[in-house]
Amino acid sequence: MIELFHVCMRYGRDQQALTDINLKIDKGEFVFITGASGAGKTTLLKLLFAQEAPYTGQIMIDGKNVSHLKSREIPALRRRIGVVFQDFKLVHHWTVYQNVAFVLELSGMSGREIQRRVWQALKMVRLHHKMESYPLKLSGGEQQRVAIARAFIAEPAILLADEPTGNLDFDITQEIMKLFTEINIRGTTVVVATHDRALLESMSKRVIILDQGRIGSDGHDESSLIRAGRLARHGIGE
Amino acid sequence: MPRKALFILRLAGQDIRGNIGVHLVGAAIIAAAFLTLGLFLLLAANLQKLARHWEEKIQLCVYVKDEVDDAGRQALAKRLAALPEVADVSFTSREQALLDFKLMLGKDSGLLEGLDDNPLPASFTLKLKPAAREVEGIRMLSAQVQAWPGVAEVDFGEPLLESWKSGLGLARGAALLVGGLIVLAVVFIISNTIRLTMYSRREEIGIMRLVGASNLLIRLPFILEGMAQGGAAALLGAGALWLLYYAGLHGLHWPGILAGFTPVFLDRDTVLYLFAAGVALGAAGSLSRLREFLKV
Repeated sequence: MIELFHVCMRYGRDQQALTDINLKIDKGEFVFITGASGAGKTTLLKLLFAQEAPYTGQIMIDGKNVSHLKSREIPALRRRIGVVFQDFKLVHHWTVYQNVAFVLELSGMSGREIQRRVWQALKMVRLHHKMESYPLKLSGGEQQRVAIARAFIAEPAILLADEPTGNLDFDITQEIMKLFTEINIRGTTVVVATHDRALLESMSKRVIILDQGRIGSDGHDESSLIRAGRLARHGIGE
Repeated sequence: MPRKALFILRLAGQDIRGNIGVHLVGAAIIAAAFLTLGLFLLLAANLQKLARHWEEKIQLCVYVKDEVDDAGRQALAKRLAALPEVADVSFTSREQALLDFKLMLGKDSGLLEGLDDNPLPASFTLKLKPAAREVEGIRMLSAQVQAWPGVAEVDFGEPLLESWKSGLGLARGAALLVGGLIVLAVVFIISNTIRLTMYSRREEIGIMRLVGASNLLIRLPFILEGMAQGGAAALLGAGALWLLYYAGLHGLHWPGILAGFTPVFLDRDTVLYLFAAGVALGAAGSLSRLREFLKV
């Protein structure tokens, strides 16, 4: 599904963001990417949905090389990937309905089908009663749930989330993680970047640790004790 | 209409509603720029009309020798009317000339009481066709007629006409220069206003791009909005100009050298051109600024 081969990324001449990243994420996996601030988590996600292009190396998504897409090829890739941002990125003068429906409008779906799907998606995130509200009238947790509804409404193959719970309290974080788990159960590959140690310890998922732009460690099917030790070793959440 | 076109129209509509404040401020600034341009065009149109008004008054006065009899005078009238440059010929007898002179002198007409004989000659007044109102052509025509038998003198107010023509040439040059500068300033103001409007929307454009909208789909609503804003602002500017014209110039009649001149408003074509310029500048301004926000 997602494969990275010897990917390096740098900003300008001196700032090395990622170094020799080799990574494989299978279809249907739920993966956390963590690391200290500046470890390269956001950069790695940006490479996956072509907001940045790697300096060297190759990125394959569903067998297609997306390392250096032309500007006009990027929208098609992004319509297959749902993205949830820490700052929600909702258009403030559009209603909740309009923000979520926009993604479906891009596909040229019929109006009736769009209405049905938006209602279902907002019901799943329990915001169907706030369809006509504007984002700034909602709480941070509600805005993030709208962003999640927008990210999965087109049933993308991959869902990326960059610090989706960064500004939210524990209960809302748990609620959002429950949503991601539901989306993952439906078959979507989920990749979440976070530095929230409590969250990483509470979920038994694969955790990739980035350390100064390199893969520090990568753990599949490990016990919570081993994971806790690994996170502590890399200074996550301290 | 295809569903996507409807979606684009709806998107443009909801963006105009959502950013109504920004759009109104932008449209007001652009309308002010168009008002400035309109004021200049109005001035230019009225100066042009004034020039035509005065040019119609250009005429040649052909004085007839006293010894020419009626038959000779009629022959001269026919010959003058046959000239291709001449639009109209009218005759003033010696008696009529004296009467006109007395009327002109008004209360000073007593000065003429002591005259034994009428000193004024009979004359033909020639009105010229528009194409024949150039100084050089009039001078040649004057020399040609001057040589005819029975003609005492030809007068067309050469010094006055020359200074009028050179003044008109200067005014036209200055108008072209000032007009060019105003057009440049208006284009600059409009494109920068639209750039500011677009700048306030950069986040929204970025979000649309991040969720998979193609550049064309992002561009079209913004271009439509730019066109609507530019067109509306041009009409607003033209409307404000009309109000100013109606309040200050409409139906005004001046005395003196401006007598008989009535100011005019811009013709329909010019207003349509202003509207088209607003629409085109709106589209171009949106398009040029969008490019840099689409690099996400």
